[in-house]
Amino acid sequence: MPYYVEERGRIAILHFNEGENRLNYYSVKSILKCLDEIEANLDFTAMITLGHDKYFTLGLDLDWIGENMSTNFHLTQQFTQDLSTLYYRLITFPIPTIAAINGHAYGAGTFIALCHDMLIMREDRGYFCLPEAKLTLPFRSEMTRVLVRKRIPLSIQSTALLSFPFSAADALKYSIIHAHCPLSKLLDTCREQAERLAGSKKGLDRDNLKRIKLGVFDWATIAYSEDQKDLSNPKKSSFSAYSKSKL
Amino acid sequence: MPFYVEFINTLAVWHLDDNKNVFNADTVREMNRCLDEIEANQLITCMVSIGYGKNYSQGLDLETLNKMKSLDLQKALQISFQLSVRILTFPIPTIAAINGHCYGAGAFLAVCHDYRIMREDRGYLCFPEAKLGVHFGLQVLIEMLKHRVPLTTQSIAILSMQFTGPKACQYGLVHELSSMEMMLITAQDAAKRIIGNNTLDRENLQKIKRGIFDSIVNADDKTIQHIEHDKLFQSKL
Repeated sequence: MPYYVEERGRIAILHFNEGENRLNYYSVKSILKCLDEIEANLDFTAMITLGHDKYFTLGLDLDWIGENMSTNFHLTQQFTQDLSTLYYRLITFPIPTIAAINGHAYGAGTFIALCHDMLIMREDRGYFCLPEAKLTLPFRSEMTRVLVRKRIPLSIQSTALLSFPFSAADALKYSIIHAHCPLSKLLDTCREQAERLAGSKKGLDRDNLKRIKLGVFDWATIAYSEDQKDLSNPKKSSFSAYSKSKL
Repeated sequence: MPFYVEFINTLAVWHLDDNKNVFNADTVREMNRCLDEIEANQLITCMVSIGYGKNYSQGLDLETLNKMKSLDLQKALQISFQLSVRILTFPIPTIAAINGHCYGAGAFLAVCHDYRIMREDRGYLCFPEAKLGVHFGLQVLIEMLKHRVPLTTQSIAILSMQFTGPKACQYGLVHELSSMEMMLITAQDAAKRIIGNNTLDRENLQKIKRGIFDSIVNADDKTIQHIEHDKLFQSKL
C-alpha cells in the first residue's frame, strides 16, 4: 500500500510512498481512507504527512487525467470532487496536522501541504511551486483559489502565481512555511512540534478543535460547497483546459 | 487605581497594574474610563498600553464570570471584546508593550493595537481556547483571528501554541522585541518612526480604521454558537 498510516506513539504518520505521489482517483481514495483510519483512532493526538525520497507530491496525475477525461468522464469528475473533499478534510482535521515536506511539492501538492496546520520543509533540496501558470493550466476549483488567498501571505501571492519555485529558504523567508531543517532531522522535528501542538498526552478536545477550525476557516466551507455544486456541472468540471497544457 | 493613565508630553501611557489584568464587568469599565481620559486629552498623539510584572493580561476573569447569570455573562463577554474593537478603531495610534503573559482576551486586546512590542525573554502570547476545550463563540473574535493574525500563523495560533517573544516576532504576531527595562523607550522610538512629523486627524483616522477593519467592527454581535459556560469555568488557566 503506497499510502498508509504508521503509528508512532500518539502521533499518526501518513506516508505518501508512490514515487512522485501523483494525485488521481485511486491515490486520493487511498489517502481519504487513511484519514478515516486516523480519525477513528482516538489515541492519535496529532498527524504528520510525509512523502518519500525526492517527492512530497508533484500534484495532479496529468497522464491519468489525459487518458480518462473523455473515455471515463464520470471517474475524473468523481476524482475532482474527492480531491476537494481531501483539501477540506485536511483543513478542518480535528487534530493538529503537520506537513513534513521532504521534497518537491508542486501544484496540487502545494495545496495538500497548505491544508496542514504547520509546514516544515527539508532545507537543502526540493521546491515549493505553483506550476499552473508556466504549464498553461488553470486553478480549476474554488478551493485551490481560496487556498492561495488564505494560506499564502498576501505580499508573496502574486509572485507564487507566476510559478516561482520557492526553495525552503525562500519559503521560510516569505512565511509560506513555518520552519525548515536537514532531511535527517525532519521527522524528529515534526514529531517534536506535533507533541507540543497536541498539548497534553490526551491531546486537544477534537470536537472543540474542529469547531474552532470551522469557525476561523469559514472560507473553506464556502469554497467546498461551491466546488461540490460546480463539479456536478459537466461543463465546469471538464478537464478540457488541460489539453492546452505545455506538458 | 489599578488601571491608570500617565501623560508624557504627547504620549499617553495606559498602565494595566491589576496583577493578572483580567476582564470582568468592573475592570472593563475602568479600562474604558482610561481610554475616555486619553481621548479627552487633545494633546496626545500616541497611546502605549503596558502591564506590570509578570502579566500584560491573562484574559477573562473566569472566577468572577463563573458566578454570573447567563444574560449578565453574555453582556460581560461582549463588552470585554468590544474593548478590543475600541482599541482597533482608536482615533489615536496605539502600541501594545507586551511585558509578560498575554492570554485569550488579553491576546485579542494586544493584536488589536496598531503596533506590538514584546518582552524578549519572558512571557507567552497564547490563544488558550483550544487547550481549554472552548471555542471562539463570538463572530467578532473569529474576524479578529482572520484579520489580525498573519495567514500562515493562524493555523498554529488556534492550536493554543505558546509564543515566546522571539517566536511571536518570527510569526508576525508582534512587530518588535525589547528588553523589559527598555520597553517604554522602544515604544517611544516606534511612535516616532511610525508617526514622524505627521499630524493624524483623529476623526479621519478613526474613519479609516473603521473602513479597513469593517468585518471586525460589523461582526454580528450575536453569539454564533452557544458558549459552553460550564466548560469555560471548569477549565484551569
